[in-house]
Amino acid sequence: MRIELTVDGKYLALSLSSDKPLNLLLQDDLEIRSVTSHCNGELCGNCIVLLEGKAVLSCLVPAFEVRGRTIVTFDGFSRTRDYRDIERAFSSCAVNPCDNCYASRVLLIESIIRRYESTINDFDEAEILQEAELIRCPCLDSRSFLTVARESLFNRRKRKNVRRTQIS
Amino acid sequence: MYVELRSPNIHEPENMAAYNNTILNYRDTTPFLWAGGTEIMSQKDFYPALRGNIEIISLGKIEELHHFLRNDRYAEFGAMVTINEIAQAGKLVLPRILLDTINSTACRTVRERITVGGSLCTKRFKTSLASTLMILDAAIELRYMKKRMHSKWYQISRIYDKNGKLDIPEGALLSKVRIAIQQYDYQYYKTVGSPLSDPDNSLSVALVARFEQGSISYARVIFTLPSKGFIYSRDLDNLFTSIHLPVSISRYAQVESYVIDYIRENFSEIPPLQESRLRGCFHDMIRDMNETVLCYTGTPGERIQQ
Repeated sequence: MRIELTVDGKYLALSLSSDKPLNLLLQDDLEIRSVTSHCNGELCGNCIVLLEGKAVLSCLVPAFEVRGRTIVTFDGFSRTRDYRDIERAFSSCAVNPCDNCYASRVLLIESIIRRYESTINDFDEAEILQEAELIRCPCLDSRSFLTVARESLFNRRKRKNVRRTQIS
Repeated sequence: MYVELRSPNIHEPENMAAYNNTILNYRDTTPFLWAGGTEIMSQKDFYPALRGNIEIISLGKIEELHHFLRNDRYAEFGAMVTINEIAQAGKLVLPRILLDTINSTACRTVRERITVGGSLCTKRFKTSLASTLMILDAAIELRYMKKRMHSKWYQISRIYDKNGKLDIPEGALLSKVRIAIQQYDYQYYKTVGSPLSDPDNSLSVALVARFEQGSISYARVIFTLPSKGFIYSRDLDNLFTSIHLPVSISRYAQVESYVIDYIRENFSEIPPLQESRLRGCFHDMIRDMNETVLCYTGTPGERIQQ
């Protein structure tokens, strides 16, 4: 099956099996280094990517569903300014997740921030704590994840507000 | 290089007429209906699959299956509405037990991919959403092909056999789910373990009840063992219905032994961890009911604060 999609800003046309999971597509066909996990349906949470700006477990998305859609992996996201907000939050909270899950945690936080950045609402804590448990890696507890997510949101709002003020 | 040879054919109809045509064209091959794909993709042998070429009908683009409507009496959802959308849209009107069930199913990232139709039609395990909808007397619309497309409304319990095995006609499509908007005096839902990752040991319990003069006048209770099925019977409801509150120890022991006997009769053995979890959940439920009922004064219109 021929599939056309955009990955990290690059428009690609691939010929592959239509039921291939997205994480294997990214690993095998595109050799993207940040997606390393294939847990065979164990829902380990280490294969998160952004599909149309929303975090998804790429092992649950078949290739035919990503036709004509936009995917952002950690490789692409780590080159953006938005990533700096999250990176700074990790260092300011002195939280260091392991290399296996770092990419997924960053993209999950980015997806959460996008839900909240344009509103004045604070986090729904129960929801974020539940989201934190999606990534099964034991290197980071849910409370620390919540702290980092909150700090990232603060950084993002601050940066965007400063920019808006400068423009006006 | 030869990867396309084994690639399933994907059909993405954009309306029900196109879906009918696809079904007619592949009448002999029993095409594979694809909703959210969460359950199918989490199977260990999903890819690379040993099966030969198959036809997959992806329902994601059928507009009609994404609709939902609400009036004073019920809310009606298309089968491709995600459970997260149901929780968002029905936050203020749907029974609280349903919202609890949805919220405990998975985190938001996964909930955004699980569709209501898909979660009712899983074959590998039973979801607690199906069991909660059963005690809420939800109805579903099935569409199936005879000479032409027919549709019919059923009570949700009709699409499962007594042990919870999915029992809908071959080639039928679950197109809508209708949930009555009503509240109960008491609603309880609890789940232990994850049905997606550990269906053999997880379980959930759901109960709705109405009270009248210190006793339960209406009760519906269901236990879900994801890998086996539902524990749901009129006898169990009747046992609860006649209970005087707070529940006495003798009545507690009677109902508990009924549940355990029912499981042994219908499902033979269950893992010890699951059995102890079931006893624990049952104990928590009765204790919670006793605690809340002691604060209940019984004035007309009063709802128990939980």
